[in-house]
Amino acid sequence: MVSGVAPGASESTSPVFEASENPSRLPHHSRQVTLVDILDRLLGGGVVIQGHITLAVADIDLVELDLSLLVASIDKLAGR
Amino acid sequence: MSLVAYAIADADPDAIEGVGFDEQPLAGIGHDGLVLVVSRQGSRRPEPTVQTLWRYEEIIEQLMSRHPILPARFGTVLADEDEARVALRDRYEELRHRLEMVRGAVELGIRGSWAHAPARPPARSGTEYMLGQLDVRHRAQCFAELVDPLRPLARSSKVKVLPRPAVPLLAAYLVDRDRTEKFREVAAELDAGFEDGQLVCTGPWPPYSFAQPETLDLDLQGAPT
Repeated sequence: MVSGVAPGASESTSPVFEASENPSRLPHHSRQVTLVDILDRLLGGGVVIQGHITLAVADIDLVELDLSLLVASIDKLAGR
Repeated sequence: MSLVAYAIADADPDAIEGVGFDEQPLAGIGHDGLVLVVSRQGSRRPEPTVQTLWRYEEIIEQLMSRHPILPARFGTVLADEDEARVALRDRYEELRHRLEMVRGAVELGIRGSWAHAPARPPARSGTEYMLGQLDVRHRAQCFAELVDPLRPLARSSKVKVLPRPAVPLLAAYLVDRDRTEKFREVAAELDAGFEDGQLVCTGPWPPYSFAQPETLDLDLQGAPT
């Protein structure tokens, strides 16, 4: 279960929703907190299984790959 | 056909159940006790849309509820099963070590937010600009000192001070499952006594922040020189 809290909540560490819920039903400020957390973790964390393969091309490719994912996600979030 | 990777698990390949993207069944590709959990890729590579990210998180959480896992970086696509086995074989020791490190633990996140975001008046000189930056840095450092009591409650922790101007603190803690409530309680106490901002505790998450060593032991063979 993933839980999060609204930035303005009085009890800031009390869980108020679960990730398995439909995010569109969550309060907007709650979704913002969790989406940022999800972006940080899913796009910036986790095992890079193919790390050695990507770097074999060039360091800069790895950077570009990460950037393209991030830019794409922000565009999607902004509804562009 | 290409494979979408979700996680590395300590499990029997036959024990992998569930459904991945595009309603494709999850499958395990094994190598000496390690399993890479994959599904066949549908018509398109997974894109990081909001819905896809939530779905990925859901799949990972279901896997985590059944096995110790290292979540894979979102967007990992492998050419075939051979590539998956090579990845497991080449990094076997490191992946084993990481799996043992996260076994029985979850990740909890702490995000700091400003009560009053630092004002950014236009600097009239380089000195004034630098003093302003130092002040922001100092205020962010107070967040880091505030969360110090959380460190002994975790197996491991990663704290970033001022990762972005709007975010004074971003921290991840690897916490034993049975200590998560204690962790939350202490975090709530720290937050309640802090006036310059707010601490938000999120999780339990799969151990995204602890699945990868800080410095990759990268295989440079074959790299262009």
